[in-house]
Order: sequence, then structure tokens, then C-alpha cells
Amino acid sequence: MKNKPNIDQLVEDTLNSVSGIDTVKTSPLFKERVLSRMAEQPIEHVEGLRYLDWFTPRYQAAALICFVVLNAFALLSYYSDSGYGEHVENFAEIYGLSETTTDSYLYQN
Amino acid sequence: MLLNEENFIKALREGTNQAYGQLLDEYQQKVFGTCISFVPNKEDAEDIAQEVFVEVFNSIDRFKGDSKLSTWIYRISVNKSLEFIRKKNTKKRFGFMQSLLGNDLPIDRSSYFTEFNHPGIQLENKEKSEILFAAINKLPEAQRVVYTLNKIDDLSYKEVSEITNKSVSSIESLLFRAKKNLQELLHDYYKKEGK
Repeated sequence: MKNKPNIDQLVEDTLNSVSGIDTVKTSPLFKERVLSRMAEQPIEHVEGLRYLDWFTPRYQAAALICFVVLNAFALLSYYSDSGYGEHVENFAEIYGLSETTTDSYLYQN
Repeated sequence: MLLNEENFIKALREGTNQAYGQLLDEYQQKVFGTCISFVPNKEDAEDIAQEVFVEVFNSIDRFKGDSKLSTWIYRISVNKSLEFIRKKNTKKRFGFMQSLLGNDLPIDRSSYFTEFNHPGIQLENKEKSEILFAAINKLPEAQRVVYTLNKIDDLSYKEVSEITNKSVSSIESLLFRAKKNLQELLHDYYKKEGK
């Protein structure tokens, strides 16, 4: 019980210990060092791609999701169309592309 | 005073030495101040501050002008400092091993990511500040950023809200939670220390 106010006070003192931090100056050669590092940097030419700057990862993800959803929708509607199989069979028969029993018989002979 | 901001940014994009000289005159102290607030070691903070200016140099073409130049530079400073801390923390911390051995202390000064060397802290406050910095390192990142910018780097709520892209009320709430968590962490620490 006796320790509690002591700890509370210590906690408060610790939280206040950073209230009067003095400004720390950078080294005198800091500016020169940074400028020489900048001079060493390879020059990047990004001008040619600047028209695509707006196409950020957020937009890229949205475009990808749209692409996947549209494709899934197209595939679903393509296969769920009940007349599709019939149309293909008719088409194959008209153009002699279907495998009929007659054909099999002819081939066997 | 600098040229007006638009012309100044144009000069930075052209990469003139004069423009970068002016940029450094204007911002080196601010950037270094932010870096040392996150990483209380003069040498490490200077290295990070250098990285910040090199990043500004390399990405000024991508600066869209949605925010003030100063806000953008502060954001780079915060991100570079956090990147440094994350890298050092993963090297220093053997979290998995510690949790297995039951040594995972709430505040552990011995596993702090850098050697504490902040010349701006008075000698009589050094030990307590060291404990506080170790406790800040245990906070969730959003609380840590807001607390450090406001309480250590002494930036206003408005400045913190611009840098973090959050409303002033969320800054207040994050600060409140950060202070509460720090109180709990410090309380546990002193209790274990037997003070």
C-alpha cells in the first residue's frame, strides 16, 4: 500500500522526463555529406511513364477485380445457357462434323 | 525565406545544387529532430536523416503537391525512422524464443533497438527517458507515431494530423490511449523492479 503512490509518482516523472528536451544540432558536415550523396545518385528518367502515374496499386487492384468478375460472369452465362449444346449439335450436323453411327459403320468397313 | 513553394519544387525537380542547398538549410534540423525523436541515437538519426534527403531527391518527381512540401518531407522522415526501427527490432528481438522461455518482459531496456544516446536529454532525466523510450517501443505503431511526434518532437496536433493523414480527434484519441498504455507498462515495470 505504501509503495503505490511512489510508483504512481515515478510513472508520472518518467512520462514528464522528455518534456524539456534540448534541440540537438546536426554535425557541421551534415549538409556537405548529403549533397555529395545526392551527386552520387544515378539520374532516373521517369518522364516517359508519367502518364501512368495515376494508375496506383489501388486502381490496379480494382481493375484486376473487375477483370476477374467480368470473366467469371461471362463464363457462367456461357455455360448456363441451356440451348447452347443443342445449337452446337445442330451446327455440327449441318456441316457434317458430328460423329454419327453411320460414320462409325463406314469407317469400320 | 525560400522562393514560393511551386517555384522551389520546380527547382528541386531540375535537381539544381542551389535548390538542394536551400532545402537542407531549411529542413535539415527539422528532419534530424524527427529522426532523433524516433531513434534516440545521434549517429543513427543522422544516417536516417541523410536517407530522407536522398529519398526526397529521388522521388521529387513523384510528389504530386497534394500536401505541403514540409508535410511530405515529415512523412518520409517518419517512414524512414519506422523502417529503421523495424529492421533493428527484428534483428534484436528473439520474440519466439523469449516467449518460449518466458523472458518476454513488458519493457526490456537491454533489447532496445539502439544504444541510447540522445544529447538533448539532461543527465538527471537520462535513466527515466531511457525507460520511457523503451516503453514507447512497445506501443502499437499508430500510437507510437502520434505520441512521438507530439510529445517528443513537440509538433502540434494539427501538424501531426497532417503528417499522419488523420483527423485531430483521432490524434487526441490515439494520444489518450498511448498515454494510458504507457502508464500501465511503466507501472508494471516499476512494480517488477521493486521500486
